[in-house]
Amino acid sequence: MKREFSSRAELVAYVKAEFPECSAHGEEVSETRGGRRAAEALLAKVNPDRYARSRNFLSGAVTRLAPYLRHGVLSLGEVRRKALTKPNHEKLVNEYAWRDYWRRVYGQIGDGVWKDREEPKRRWRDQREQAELPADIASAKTGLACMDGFASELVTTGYMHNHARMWFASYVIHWRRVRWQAAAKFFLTHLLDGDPASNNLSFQWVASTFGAKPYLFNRENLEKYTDGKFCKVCARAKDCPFAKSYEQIDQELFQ
Amino acid sequence: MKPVVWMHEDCLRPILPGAPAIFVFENNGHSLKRLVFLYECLLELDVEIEKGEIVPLVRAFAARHGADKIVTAFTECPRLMGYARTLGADVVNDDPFVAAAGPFDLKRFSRYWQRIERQALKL
Repeated sequence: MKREFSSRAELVAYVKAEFPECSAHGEEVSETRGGRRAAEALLAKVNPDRYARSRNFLSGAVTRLAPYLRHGVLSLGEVRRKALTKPNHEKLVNEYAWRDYWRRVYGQIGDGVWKDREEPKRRWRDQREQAELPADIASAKTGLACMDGFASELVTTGYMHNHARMWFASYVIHWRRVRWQAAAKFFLTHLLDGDPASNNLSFQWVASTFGAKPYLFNRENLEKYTDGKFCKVCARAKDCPFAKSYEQIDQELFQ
Repeated sequence: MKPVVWMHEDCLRPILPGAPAIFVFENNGHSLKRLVFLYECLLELDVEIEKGEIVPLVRAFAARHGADKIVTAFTECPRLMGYARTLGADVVNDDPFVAAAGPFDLKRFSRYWQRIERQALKL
């Protein structure tokens, strides 16, 4: 295949023409550039200390290295060694270890990542499970500014902050009772870093089929770590399904 | 020995610098944004880019270069490692997260972390 392009636009047009089937997933192209140069530029900016203190905030000092790690542009060994040269690196190395862990589990169970690893720890009050991802979620039309914002960013850019992935997965699985596999497929299709190891096993962690309890959140938590940017403009701010205590949410969702 | 490298999408970095390398795009349902990202990664590497079926294309590439060995990078992906077996490729794990030898108890992350923590936090 061709190796010389005069511009990114020419490359994009070529890829579209050579792989026409990819248009089924949309026409968006991420601003995130592939390649070692872009990866090294990001790696040089990684600040483990700021990462440890701010990573749960959408505006936090996250690394944005995931697509490069997913595709082996950077190795996990290399980013670990780089982190160790900087102060307060324990949390960042621990998070890299999660990726290594998911990979090792994937190596053990292979396509078993698509099946429940364990029984879910709790049963939903409403047992009607949805096998497919509802259209309003995939097309960012739930009316919930946070979830629509996350879905829209995912489809447009191929990126979603890790905390947003957890909130989104929890909403889809526990509030909407969608089979985690359907939501995992949506992520795999659109994330630049989507891989069956980290992605599916993280969904299972949220679903509690690979973890001790279902992952839940509430509005207070989401509002804090998003600096309230979604709640301020949300049409459903007054009937927000997340504006409850954890106890209330637990009782509402589970038997 | 005259090796060639089969580069796959789980390891887009040189594992045997100087050896001719090939990457094959399969029809595996990637979005346009992922394909563009992968293509940009490949353009920075000295690698021949093809699309189609991996095994026959890699074999033809090896034959064209008069290679007596195909080398590829380790991945946990069963599909890609299946191709490696079919190709009779040498699989190298060039830079693992930690060098600790298994087997590991992977029931929960905490158990795994407990086992590797000391090594992971040491240069």
